[in-house]
Amino acid sequence: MTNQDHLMAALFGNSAREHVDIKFFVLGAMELTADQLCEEAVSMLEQMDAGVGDVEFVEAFEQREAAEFVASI
Amino acid sequence: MTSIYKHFAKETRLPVRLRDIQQFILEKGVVSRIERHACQTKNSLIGIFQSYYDLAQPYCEHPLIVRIGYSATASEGAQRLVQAKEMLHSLDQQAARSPTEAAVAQLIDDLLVEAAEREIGLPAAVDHLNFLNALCVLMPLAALDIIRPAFKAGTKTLAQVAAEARLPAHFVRVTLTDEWREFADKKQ
Repeated sequence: MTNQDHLMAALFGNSAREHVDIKFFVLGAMELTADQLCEEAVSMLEQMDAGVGDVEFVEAFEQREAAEFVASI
Repeated sequence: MTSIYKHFAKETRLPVRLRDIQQFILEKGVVSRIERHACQTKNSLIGIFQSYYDLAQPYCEHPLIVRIGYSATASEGAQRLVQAKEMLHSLDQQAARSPTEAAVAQLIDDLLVEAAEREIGLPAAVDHLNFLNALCVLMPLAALDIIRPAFKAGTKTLAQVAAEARLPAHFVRVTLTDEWREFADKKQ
């Protein structure tokens, strides 16, 4: 089974889900093979299914008016 | 209905918060839930967007779920750009989606070629360009109109602007050009 087969199974093999869409953000696409892309995508989908990663992206910063930023030294 | 680009274009505060982008998309009513997961990655894939209908009990009314994965080891700026870019895909038109196995295979094939090498499908074209759309939201026109003169005058550096926006400098650089304003204007 290729990594692309694994990806298709992850997207279309779950009877509790109806696949709608998938997109990727690739840096340096020319150095990446389709097989590597699929392998990485499967890994990310599995991590999301398992809930192993952080799901709280903390945004503790304060917003500031652009005019204040420009006026700041 | 106000477009997301028009809505954020008038923002004069930085950094733009991802939770505000997420809230705007959820209020459109297209998506019922957006999850954003930090993932371990090892290759050049640093972001993934997945949408599906949840058919399991008790959700039998087909709510559309969006899941976004981003690299846990990328810089905060890259993480913010990736998440914004992927969240915007929630609003993609039907024709830009890849709903079948054949369409997903075509998307992968299209993504890994140079844009000028051959004609690629709409889903891949949208995937290629959506980080520019994300920049339109994360670097609002109104804020840029205040910052650009200071940048041109040399009183604010690229690094300072990027730090203020909490985004990668090499992406922020694009938004500080005069050509960017024209591009961003057309998005509204």
